Amino acid sequence: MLILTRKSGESIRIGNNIVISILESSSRYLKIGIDAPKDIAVYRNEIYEKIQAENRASSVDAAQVNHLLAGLQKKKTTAATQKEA
Amino acid sequence: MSTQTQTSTAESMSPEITFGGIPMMGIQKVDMIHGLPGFENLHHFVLAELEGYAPFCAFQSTEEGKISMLVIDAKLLSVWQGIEIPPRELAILGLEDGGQSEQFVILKIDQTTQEFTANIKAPIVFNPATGAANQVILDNADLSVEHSMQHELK
Repeated sequence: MLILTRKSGESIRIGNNIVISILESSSRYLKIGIDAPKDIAVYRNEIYEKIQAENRASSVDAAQVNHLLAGLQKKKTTAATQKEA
Repeated sequence: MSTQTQTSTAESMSPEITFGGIPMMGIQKVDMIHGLPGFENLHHFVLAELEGYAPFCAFQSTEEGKISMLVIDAKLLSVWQGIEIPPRELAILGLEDGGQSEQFVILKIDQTTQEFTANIKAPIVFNPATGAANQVILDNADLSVEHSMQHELK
C-alpha cells in the first residue's frame, strides 16, 4: 500500500482525473473531498462491503422460489383470516 | 437465458420461460453498469414479473444461472415515500429525474422463519428506455439493508 502524509488543504491526484482533497482533520476524523468522473463509483468501504454481503445472502435458488412464495402467501392468508376473526 | 430458466416442450409454439417453475412475464434486459456488489463480474440480468405472485419479480443473471434474487418495486413500499435518487446517480444512467427511472429493492428470505426483509439502503435503479441500471447506495443513515417486510406486505 502506498502511504502518503498530507495536511488539511492538501490533495492527492490519482491518474489524470481523480483528486482526493483533505478538507478538514481532527483527532477523530478526516473530512475528504473527492473529484472524480461520474462513471467512477465512490462508496464508504464498510457500507459497500455490507451491500456485497447482503446481495450474496439474498441470492436464492430459483428451484425453491415457488415453495418460498407459496409459504409467504399462506402466511398472509392466515394473518388476514386472524385479523377478520 | 440462464440454466435455471426452462422453456416448455418443443411442441409449443410459444415457449414459456419460467423461474423455478413460475412463468416469467414482461421480461426486461438489465445491464448493470458497475456489476452487482458481491457479484461484480456479472453485468447482464433479466427482470420479470412472476405470474401469480405479484408484486414479486425475479432478477436473474444471464451469465451465471445460479445467481437470482427476488425484488419488488420500491415505490410499493410505504417507507419509500420521499426517498430520492441523487442526480449524479441518475445522470450515470442517462436520466434527468427520478420519475424516469424504475426502482427495485432486493428481498432476502430467512430460510428458517420465511420472513422477508428488503434492502432499502441500496435500490437497483433502472433506466427502462436503455436497460442501464446500477445498485445505488443511498447516503441516508436511516435506511436499512434489512427493512422488515412484515408490515409492507398486506
